[in-house]
Amino acid sequence: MKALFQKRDGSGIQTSALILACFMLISVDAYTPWLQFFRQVAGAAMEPVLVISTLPNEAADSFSGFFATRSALKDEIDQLKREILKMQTRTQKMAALLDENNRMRALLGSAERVQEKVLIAEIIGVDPDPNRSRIIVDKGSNDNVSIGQAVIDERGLIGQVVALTLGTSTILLISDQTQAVPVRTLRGGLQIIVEGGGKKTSLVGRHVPITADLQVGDSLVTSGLGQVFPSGYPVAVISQFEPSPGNPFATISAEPLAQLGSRNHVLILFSAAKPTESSSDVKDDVN
Amino acid sequence: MAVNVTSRGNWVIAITLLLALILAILPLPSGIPAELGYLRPDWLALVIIYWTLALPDRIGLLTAFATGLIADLVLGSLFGLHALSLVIASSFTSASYQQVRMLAVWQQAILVAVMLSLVQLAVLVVILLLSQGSFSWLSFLIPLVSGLVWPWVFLGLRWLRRRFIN
Repeated sequence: MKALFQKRDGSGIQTSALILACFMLISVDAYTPWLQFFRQVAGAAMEPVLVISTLPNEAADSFSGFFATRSALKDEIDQLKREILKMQTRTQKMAALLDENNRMRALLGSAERVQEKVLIAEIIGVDPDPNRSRIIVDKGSNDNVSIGQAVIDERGLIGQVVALTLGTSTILLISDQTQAVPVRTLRGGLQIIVEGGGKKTSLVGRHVPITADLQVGDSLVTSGLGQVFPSGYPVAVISQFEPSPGNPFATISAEPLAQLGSRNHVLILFSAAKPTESSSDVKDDVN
Repeated sequence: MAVNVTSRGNWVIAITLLLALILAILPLPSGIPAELGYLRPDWLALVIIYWTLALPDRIGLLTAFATGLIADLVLGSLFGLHALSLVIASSFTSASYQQVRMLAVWQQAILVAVMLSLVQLAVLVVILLLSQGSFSWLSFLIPLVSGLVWPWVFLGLRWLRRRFIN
């Protein structure tokens, strides 16, 4: 017979055991790479859920695409054609400049600059946790993507690969609070580090002395220090530089050039020198 | 206790959990400020709390643990973080289900909000202890919103339970 007010024995022990198990899993995952392979394989098994979750947005997109007018599409094509023309003229000059640059470098005796290869990936998911800025793209370890690779879009740096499954990879955006990017200014070559501000719109520069040679509107490009992000990619533009005399450091914000909130395609960079194993540690490299 | 345990309607429970998981990862439409993400209820916790409340002999800590681990895989959070919050929520519920069942739905909603705030606090402690990731005080909006949607989750799942399970 089932008692009316039964006490289930052992549930306290079970709770403590499970909570302890959770703590152990969390610390193992936080401090060691042991679970990485498991996450790759098991994460791949969970992909259908991810795909289902993108359906509503895709349906909305295709719905609006279905009702796009002929003239709007024609305008878009015209604009794209103009853009291609502009880009082609620019690459013509680029080839000559690159050649010249390499010859100069050869004269100086420094290594030839390598051209990075890129892999185009489609954004298939956005991390729902509002405390983090991450996106998920449709290329994974099956496409030779590895952890630590830099990711850009057509305007600038987006972030780096931090987690992989067989068919997807997770990209930590430069706007995430745990991400920091070593950059230099194009104008003066000043080296600074910008960190994500948590919001999708602005980066924060830390520990920049108030006497630094900075102006609003300065372009920041990756400096290549820290060996996670290859050097020379545009990152952001300084939008605020306030040296207040009371503080040793200035308040700096920068607007990312890449469209971090959009749902377009991104480019995963393959440098000639593969990122080392240690580059999976996001913050340690750059601090 | 083992005598009455059946597996009738287990698929209904599994589907509601899957649905909650999909609602949890559903990306916001593009162009919406990311802060609105803090108004997303903790669907998984609500569904786990309901089933623990309704069928404490069948759904409890182990289901919560397994669901949490799957959620961690899908959401890419620290492995065990969602499991931890769901296990705590489920253990609170299973310790007090006889009292909670007697309450009116709106009283349950308040209780759910308080309980999930405690869970959020536990998660905050873990995140700060491990200095992993970032945390915003806006996260405490999530339990509040979860409490607000509890009555509808409760009514919906109760309808499912009466229709398919008992």
